[in-house]
Amino acid sequence: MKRFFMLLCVLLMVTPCVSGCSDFVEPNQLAFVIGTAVDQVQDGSIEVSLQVVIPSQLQKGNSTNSESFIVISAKGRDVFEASQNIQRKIPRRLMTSHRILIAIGESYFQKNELNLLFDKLARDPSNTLRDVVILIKGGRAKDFLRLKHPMEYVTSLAASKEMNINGLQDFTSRQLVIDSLSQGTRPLVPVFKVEHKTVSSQKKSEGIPVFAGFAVLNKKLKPVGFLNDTECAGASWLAGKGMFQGITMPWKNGKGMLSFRLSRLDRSIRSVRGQDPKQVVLAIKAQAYLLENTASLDMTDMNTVIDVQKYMNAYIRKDLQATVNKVQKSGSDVFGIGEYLHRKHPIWWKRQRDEWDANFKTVQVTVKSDIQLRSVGVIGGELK
Amino acid sequence: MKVSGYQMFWLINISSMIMVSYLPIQLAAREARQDCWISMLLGSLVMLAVTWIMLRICMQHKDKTLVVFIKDLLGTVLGKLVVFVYFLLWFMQMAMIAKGMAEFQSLVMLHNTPMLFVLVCMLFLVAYAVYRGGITAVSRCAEVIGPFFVSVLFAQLFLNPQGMDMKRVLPVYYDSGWYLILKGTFYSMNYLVDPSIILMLFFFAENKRTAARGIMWGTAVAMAWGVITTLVLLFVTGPRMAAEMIVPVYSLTKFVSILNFIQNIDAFFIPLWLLGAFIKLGVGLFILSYGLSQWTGIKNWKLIACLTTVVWLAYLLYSGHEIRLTNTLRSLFLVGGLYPFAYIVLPLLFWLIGSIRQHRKSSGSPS
Amino acid sequence: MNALSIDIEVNEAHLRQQFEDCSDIVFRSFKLSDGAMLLLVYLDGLTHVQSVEDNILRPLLFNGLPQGEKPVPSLAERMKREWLPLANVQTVDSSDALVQHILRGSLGLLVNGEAAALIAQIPGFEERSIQEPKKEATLRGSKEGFVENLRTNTSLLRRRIIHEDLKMESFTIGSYTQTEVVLAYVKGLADENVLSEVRKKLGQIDMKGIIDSAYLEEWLEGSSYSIFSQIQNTERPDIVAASLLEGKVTLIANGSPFALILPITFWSGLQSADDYFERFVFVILTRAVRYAMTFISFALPAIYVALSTFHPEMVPANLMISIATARENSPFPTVIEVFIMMFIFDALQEAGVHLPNQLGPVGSIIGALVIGQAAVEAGIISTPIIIVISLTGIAAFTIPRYSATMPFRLTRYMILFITGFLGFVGFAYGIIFLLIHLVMLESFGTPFFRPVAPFDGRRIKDIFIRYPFWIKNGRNKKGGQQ
Repeated sequence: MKRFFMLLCVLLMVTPCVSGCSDFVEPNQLAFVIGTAVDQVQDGSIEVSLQVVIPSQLQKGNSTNSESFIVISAKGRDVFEASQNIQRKIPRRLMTSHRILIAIGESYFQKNELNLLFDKLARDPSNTLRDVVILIKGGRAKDFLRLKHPMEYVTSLAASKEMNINGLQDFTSRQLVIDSLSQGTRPLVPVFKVEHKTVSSQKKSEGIPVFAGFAVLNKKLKPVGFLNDTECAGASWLAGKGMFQGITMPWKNGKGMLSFRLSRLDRSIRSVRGQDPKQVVLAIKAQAYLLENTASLDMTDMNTVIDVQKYMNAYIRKDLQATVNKVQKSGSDVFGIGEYLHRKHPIWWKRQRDEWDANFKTVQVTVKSDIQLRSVGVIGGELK
Repeated sequence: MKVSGYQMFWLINISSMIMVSYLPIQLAAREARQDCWISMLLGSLVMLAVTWIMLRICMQHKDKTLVVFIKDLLGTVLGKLVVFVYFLLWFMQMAMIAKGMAEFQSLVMLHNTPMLFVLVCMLFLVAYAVYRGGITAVSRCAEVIGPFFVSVLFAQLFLNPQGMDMKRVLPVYYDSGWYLILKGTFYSMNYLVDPSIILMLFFFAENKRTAARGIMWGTAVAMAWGVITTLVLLFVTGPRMAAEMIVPVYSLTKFVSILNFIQNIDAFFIPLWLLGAFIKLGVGLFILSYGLSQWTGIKNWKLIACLTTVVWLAYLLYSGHEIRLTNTLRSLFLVGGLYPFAYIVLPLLFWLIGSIRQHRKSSGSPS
Repeated sequence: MNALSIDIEVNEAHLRQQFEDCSDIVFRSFKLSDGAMLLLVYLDGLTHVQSVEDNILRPLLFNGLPQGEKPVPSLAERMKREWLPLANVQTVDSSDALVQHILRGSLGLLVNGEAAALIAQIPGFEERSIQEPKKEATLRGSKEGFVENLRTNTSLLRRRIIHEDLKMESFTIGSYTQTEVVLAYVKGLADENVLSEVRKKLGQIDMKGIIDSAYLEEWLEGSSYSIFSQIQNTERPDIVAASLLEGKVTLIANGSPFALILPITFWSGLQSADDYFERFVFVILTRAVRYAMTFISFALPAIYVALSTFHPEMVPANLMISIATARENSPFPTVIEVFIMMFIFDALQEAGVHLPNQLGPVGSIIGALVIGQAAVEAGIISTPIIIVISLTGIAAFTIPRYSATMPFRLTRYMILFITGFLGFVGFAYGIIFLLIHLVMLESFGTPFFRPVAPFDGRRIKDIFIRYPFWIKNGRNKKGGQQ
């Protein structure tokens, strides 16, 4: 019996050697995809571009003069087919699980619904769903990937770092999938555009990607509106997602400006008393620190401080209310009010959920703010 | 071959957690959406009650295995027939876990390696363990693996704090209603644990009292883990996504990301899950072969273990081609017929007959 | 068994014949003033000649036999009783016994007219003095180590355990070497089953010679094919004393400075004497490091292979890209590369053991420069693999006992092999296989993986964290029960 077991053991060991089937892939047989771009082409099919790093170019000192990445594109009827077509063009196996970013070109999302894309994302186990999804405005996503960034070795990395550093962590594709599956929330997707500015003294820059606001998507993940630079900070605050760091406002009399840093931003949704689900209050909370004061206010005076706090609250409230109104007009509930009402009034919600995009427009949303001025900085009055 | 109470705890705990991590969450989520944790909770309570009943039966027949005492209760012919139902059940469960394991591996990790090889290696290890030391080997392995397995499985639930949103389970009840919640319970509870293995295992317990305590605790911890996992899954992904996921526990580990560096702990999760599955299969193979040896009267259960492994492998290979055989998990015959019959009706019957016998004996003896 | 003759000439002739061609045998016959014929026989180099001259020859030749109050029947008996100023003296009456004693370094004294010989132990051979054990150095604790002489070793134990229950049974093993083996244990603490099993197995040994206690090890082990040694060897008397007090059994063979301790468990190989000498809180850290490193010492190459070639998606992006960057030009597949490096590492280690001390630096220069630097610069071996293998090698050295590192060095290859085919699945299979083997292994009736499997709540206090002695013994410091 013992001998039989030994024999079995040996056989077991030998089988794979003989069959030669193995999932063994050397790292230098892999192409690491860092970014993916999806564009629409004329004949109705889609074009997928993959940004692939070239490891040998990343070795010490090499990255300065030669490209450290390549962008390869191919057309296909869906993402998988296009990827297969790309695979045929390059000598290494595509490895998409380290992807940082998915960029979707304007031409694509003007014509198609994004939820077609995300089936592939959620189904394939090799996707981590940790990558960021962005829209590229005013151009093809492919060109975005082709850009060379002055600081980072690929634009995808630059864009994701840019979002991270500006407090926009919560825009991964997982979040997008969750938002799009839930009935009472519509996703916000960050929008980037390419800005042509000279940032380097030596050579002419081809342009750098710049964060340019949010796209508001509807239930089918089709963009229905855009929020610009200034509105988007408030929108992401109201949606309970990203955090924006600072705000600058003119002082009452129009002379001089006040700048605050905001921290510990918080948001909550409340129904107005009276149990009418159609009246909702978005309450925001934050702590403000005065950083810059060119309005020649004496901040050692208690009354001035209270005055400033009141004014700041009113200013922000007005600002955000405008954003809310704009979003509401588009009919896409990016704030998750529907989700709130779903939890608060589940039975009422059952009647509403199918036409929530239309019903959302009729909800009366009020913004309330409670921002505390925590500190006026290390000097009291103006330095004279 | 004796198993201590502590070992019993780990044996039952690991096998139950393997079961919980494999199927029921997904089955419950599909029916009851964000209320699937209630389904899981109800299912867990039912299963705990069933485990308790099984233990009562075992306590009535302390020094006999299922095969032996069932003969006393129901007579030889009927007893043998009923035991065969349990044999079938265990065999199906072993096949299900082994198949699920191999399929999962080929889906997630090994796309080109033939499934046969993965399977043969695993079955060889299981058979080897049973052959070398029977339940002793399996239970000793269990108590080594157990602490790691359980602590990692519990810890990974809390490694995703920034992704969690407690509000995602709300509103409770209104969206699904009792019908769907109970339907979720109905489907999922049969795959939560396999309480019937106790009927065989308890015979090997060294100290019946501590073993009984170990079994109850083992089941309870696994059940608690199941409910918490369901909740965390809902917190992290929301009900819609949870319902769509095939292997939710695995997907949950994929979402973990701490400091953008500690991510992909699935790399540790998968080997650990394999270790757990090994215990589950080892227990299954042992009780099946030991039971068969008592059933047939062939003394050499080690030989039967080897033969069973061969049959098991053959069945797995055959069922791999027959796609219909793999999709029987939700079939009404199993869920509505076999499982309740084996888990609830039969044990209650055994308990009743056993109690009546005992009662009669105790009242009859003084006269 | 041939008895000694009365005639000293016959005896001498017989002895001379037995010791034919032995150049180191010395016969010294002399006659006393009263006409008695005496013969001294000893092996040169084993007997202390100066002492023989001072204590036997000089008084006998110059003073003659002292006259006692009453005459005793035999001259030899008289000498033994009244006269020879030596501690360890006995008489034998067979020539075989006489030969045996002479071979062990005793002095034989024969007197004409008596069929008995006087045996005096005057050992005088050169031996190593007690030194600090080199292989098991500790920072704190005793600096004494065992030597080759059995009696010195037993004395080292006796000096540590001053109790009459410390028993030392003697066995003579080896048809030619006639090695004395001492089975030491504390009666009442040691397990009788273990003792009788050891006695039985010692009785079964059939060999020409026992050169070192390692020979005994192989005879005694239950599972000879296992890669894990089931008997611990040590040079440190303090470890042996501690083990004896734990109820273990020790074997000491003459001629070997290594004592054998049994039964042992998996964990005793991972514990160092220092663990008990340092502050217990700190020991928790060192043990954690040691256990982690033990895992690394057999698993890291396999984990590296699995991660980089089977599951690159599981490595964080930046790390994976730097690994890929480093491996861009490697000619070998990762598994082969790791295997080569592991082989080279083991080769270097083996060479290091055999290198003469003066050549030591040469070995390290060749190892570090040629294989390390040049191979990387030539692009034959990639840097991550050098890091992985050196970490693995270092990790094996954190295991305090050298013989306990060997199973891990072997498993390293085994697990690498299966991982090379199946990635993490194979890794898990390898671990399971190892685990089944470990939990079913027994060392003289003690499960090898105890107290983890089977679990033993009392003993486990000494495995992962070392409890202070007063907790371990279930008492609080003031002496009361806890």
